[in-house]
Amino acid sequence: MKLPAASDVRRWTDQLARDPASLSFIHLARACRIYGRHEAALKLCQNGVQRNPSSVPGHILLARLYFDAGQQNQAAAVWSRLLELNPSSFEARRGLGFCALASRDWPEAWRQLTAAASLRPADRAVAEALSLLEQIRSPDSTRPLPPVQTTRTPELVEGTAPRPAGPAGGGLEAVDRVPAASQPEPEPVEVVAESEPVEPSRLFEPMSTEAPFLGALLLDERGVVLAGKLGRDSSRVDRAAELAATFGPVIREAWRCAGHLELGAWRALTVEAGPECLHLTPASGGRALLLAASRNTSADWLVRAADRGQELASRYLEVSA
Amino acid sequence: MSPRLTRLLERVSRVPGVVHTLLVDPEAGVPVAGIARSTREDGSVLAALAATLHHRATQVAGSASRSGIELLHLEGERGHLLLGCVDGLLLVTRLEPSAQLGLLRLELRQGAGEPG
Repeated sequence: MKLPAASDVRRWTDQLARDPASLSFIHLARACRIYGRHEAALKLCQNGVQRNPSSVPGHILLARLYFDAGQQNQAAAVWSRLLELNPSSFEARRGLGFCALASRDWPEAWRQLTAAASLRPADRAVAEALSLLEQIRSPDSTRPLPPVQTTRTPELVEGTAPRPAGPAGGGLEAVDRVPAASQPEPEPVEVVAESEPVEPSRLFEPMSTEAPFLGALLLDERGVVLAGKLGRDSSRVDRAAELAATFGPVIREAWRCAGHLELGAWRALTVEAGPECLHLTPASGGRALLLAASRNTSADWLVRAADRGQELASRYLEVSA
Repeated sequence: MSPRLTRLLERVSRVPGVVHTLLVDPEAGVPVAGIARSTREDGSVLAALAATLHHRATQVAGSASRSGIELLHLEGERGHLLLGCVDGLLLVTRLEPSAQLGLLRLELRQGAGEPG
């Protein structure tokens, strides 16, 4: 399990403080879960799902947090809700199957887990649970019923493992200051896709409807384009690699400058040249997000667009990991 | 140095939150003139770092838009570095986190457009 850096935690906290409806709650709640701040994770997730009722990853995390806490009824309610949002959700079927296992409702467990297996036949946890159920259903089976806790998948119980104290450099204490949701949100009107892999070049397409947006690239520390493209037409695709390659030395120079001048960790590098503005922000694992926008766009738009790009990039990296 | 650049340097250095302002030869990476407020920072170090960053970023700008850099802004947790181009020189400004960035950008634009 990858531990989030303190800088990431601070960034997600800032994003959530600026925009309580931000999807950053998912990252922050995951970080809290990893560091054993279960109550904070649950509170963040409850608020986040309330404000983002169509967020499938938010529902998945909320259900897991309930399950971690042994609150199977609440977990099952959230997974049922997830199934309403997305009837072909593997996560929901599997979660409901494990909840039924925990409450020893074997027929329901069988029904949900076979549905999950049909959606993702290669999932080992589901296959093992079905194998267990087959033994339970077999009349000549002499095997005793297993304790309920052992039926959890490693993924579902990851929140119960010994916890690291917190990210180096702190950051989680700010989570408590994130504003809570005050009013119930309306019923969901849009179903957000479950964490399915997206075509790398189309990663930032959801941002392309905004006028200043000219393109975005997710770069690794070697200056290689991991995802995204520049421009709305194909004519600029080839220039993405050239731009990415030249940005590598700039990122290293920005680090050096920030260190020597005691500016602290760099948060953004903006270059205004000709009709364009290039806005670079650090992403996890030494990666960076490069956003190209029309010149003279507002600084506020750049910050919001970079936040949105970072969310898309984080989700993409999680799914493709 | 021209009176216009001297005036620009003074105006920029008076913007709230500006700690250090330098005019730098971008090729040599050495300071031509500067005003430091509330800092004992070595101007030659700041000039060298800023010139190198500008040089690297110029390559990026060339790849992106085939244009020269007009403004470069490095934002850190504890401050900012802003580079602008005026009459072939780099105007380098180091700022506190809460500095008036909008006012500074306005000064830079006006300074770049002001007749000599």
